[in-house]
Amino acid sequence: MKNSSNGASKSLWQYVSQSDFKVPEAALDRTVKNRIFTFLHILKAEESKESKKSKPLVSKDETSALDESNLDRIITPLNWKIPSEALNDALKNWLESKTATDPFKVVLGPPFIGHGKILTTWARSQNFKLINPPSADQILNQDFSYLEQFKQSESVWVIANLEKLYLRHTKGLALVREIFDGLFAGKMGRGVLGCNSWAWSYLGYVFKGDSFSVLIPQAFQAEQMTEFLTERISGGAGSRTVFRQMGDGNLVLVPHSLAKSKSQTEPPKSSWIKYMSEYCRGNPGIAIEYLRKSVRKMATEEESKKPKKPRDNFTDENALWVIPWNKLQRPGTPSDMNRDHARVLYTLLIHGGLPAKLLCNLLPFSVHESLQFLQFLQAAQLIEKSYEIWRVSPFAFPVVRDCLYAEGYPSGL
Amino acid sequence: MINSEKIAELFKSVDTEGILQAVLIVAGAWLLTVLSQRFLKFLGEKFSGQGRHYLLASVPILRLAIIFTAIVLIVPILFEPTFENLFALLGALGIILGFAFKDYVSSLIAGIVTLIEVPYRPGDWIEVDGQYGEVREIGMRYAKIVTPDDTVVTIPHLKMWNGLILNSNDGTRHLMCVTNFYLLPDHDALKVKNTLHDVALTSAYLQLQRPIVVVIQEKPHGTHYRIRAYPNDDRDQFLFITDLTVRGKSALMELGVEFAPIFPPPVNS
Repeated sequence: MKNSSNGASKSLWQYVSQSDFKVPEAALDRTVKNRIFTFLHILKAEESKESKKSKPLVSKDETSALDESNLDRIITPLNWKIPSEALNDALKNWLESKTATDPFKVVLGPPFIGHGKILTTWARSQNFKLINPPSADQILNQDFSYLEQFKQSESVWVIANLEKLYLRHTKGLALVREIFDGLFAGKMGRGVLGCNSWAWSYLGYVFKGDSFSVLIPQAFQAEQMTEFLTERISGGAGSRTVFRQMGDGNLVLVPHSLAKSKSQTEPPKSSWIKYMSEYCRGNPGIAIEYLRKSVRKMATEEESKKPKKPRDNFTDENALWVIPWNKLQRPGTPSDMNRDHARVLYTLLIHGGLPAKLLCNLLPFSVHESLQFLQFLQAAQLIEKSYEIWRVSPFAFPVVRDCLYAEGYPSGL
Repeated sequence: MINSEKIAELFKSVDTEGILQAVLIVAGAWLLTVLSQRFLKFLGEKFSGQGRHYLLASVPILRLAIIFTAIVLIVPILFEPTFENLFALLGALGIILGFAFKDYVSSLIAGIVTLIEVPYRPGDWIEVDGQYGEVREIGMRYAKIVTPDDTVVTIPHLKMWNGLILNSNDGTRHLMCVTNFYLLPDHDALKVKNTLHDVALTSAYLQLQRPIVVVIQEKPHGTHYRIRAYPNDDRDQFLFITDLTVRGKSALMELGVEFAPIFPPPVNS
């Protein structure tokens, strides 16, 4: 069972070329609705309230949020071994070939898909040399002694996060240019480079004219996303818990252990998963974040401060309740957001997150202004800080992506 | 020969109700023009990219459409639109306008031609008679530009007939900026060129999709470098040039390159 589950899991992860990469396409009416939502948010207008035609099965008032530790137990993290095995399959021919013309391969990943962890896990499983990124000082001082570790490597070397090897600074491109010059000249051996797609999009302008063949994990369509999220809930504390939508009680996710009892030979075709996959562009890392933000449990009488009403439906099961997609409060760009805020967001994305001090060095603002912009964006829930590193919040990434695209920035995946 | 009695008769048919209707139409057209202009300009400030330029360019066209509609609605109310009446009216108007308001009418007509030929539109950065600024408003007779020093300059459309109008972005967000550096000739030009290229490439204001070109020319007083690049938003052009200048100077000083002094022209004795 476990082996077949792993086999099914691995099949979700397919590495394709950039031209074959395809995101779930939203129907025109949903695209229009999303644009209207963004437009109204910019104008600070209130969202129109849906008329309450019928009483919802479970309302938000009857539920309460789950704390982070409970969410971690119910929605288990991804086993990075599975996508790394899929990556190994995609690179197998290149690894085994003695006549391959490409001295290196580039593996891209949209933000939050975990491309760094996938490559790190893969490198360790294959006993390949994992090359750590240089420090900011090494990059800005153009310390080329960093390159010695490439030349000394006899086997394949791996850089998991190429976005950490450069800085958008006059002195910040020399090192990464030197690496690619060495690669094309055949002086660096064979290597695999992982990169955030936004950083790669920027580096495309640095290496203008050079063409690279890249691999990208294919975006998850609704069916794959359902399977992926089902696996996340099937292995943890929620393995006997179904996920239902609050308004109508429709099944969203059914763990494998309960599939038979629910007569679910196939996973439910949930509209919530469909809309969410389209909104997240098939990115499983962001999908997990949206599931965590949407799921709630039935509140106790103490929590809801109301007597508990007996339910007529679904009395024989453990259920968690998912906020309906059109009721989920998603972040939006504040009406007083300006081009300087967008500059900060773009800088954070192309570097995969930065500490405040380094960010100030890369922006044409004073330290005080930069910190004010960071506070503004944090208050708008567009960015977050973790271990002193500022980055775009995964929950806000779809709206940040749309905002930067509208501002004319070249976007990643 | 214009029959003055005929002209007087045109107005006899106008009653109080007709005048009231005409006044209401004029007021409505004015209100609609003001509201639509403000709303579209507000939207233009909220959005970026090419969409902003389309929004701003639609303002004068919408105004013209509202005015034209108002005229079409008013004329039948005030006058019997027969061929004879119109002939008499236009004849009278022609004499008045021809003598008294020649330049004004010329500007009005130029304004209509401007909307058709579009030598400039709201959101464009133009230079006319040495005045450079962003077109903020296109009225029926004039265009208003706002210079970088926040001065409002009113330019009659009349200028379009026989003057040069330099348009830096022509309805798009692509506005090339040029940043100049003057260096003493004794240096490695290729190194400086590559450094200046990277200065532009790493600017937070840069529009990446447009090319960066560094042009080098030897001049009598030194070597003239010009970075030609595009900011991501035309409204940031001056910040972009400032950023390139500041970081370019810093990078060139680290290379040990000396800047050429620019001497003022000699004073005639």
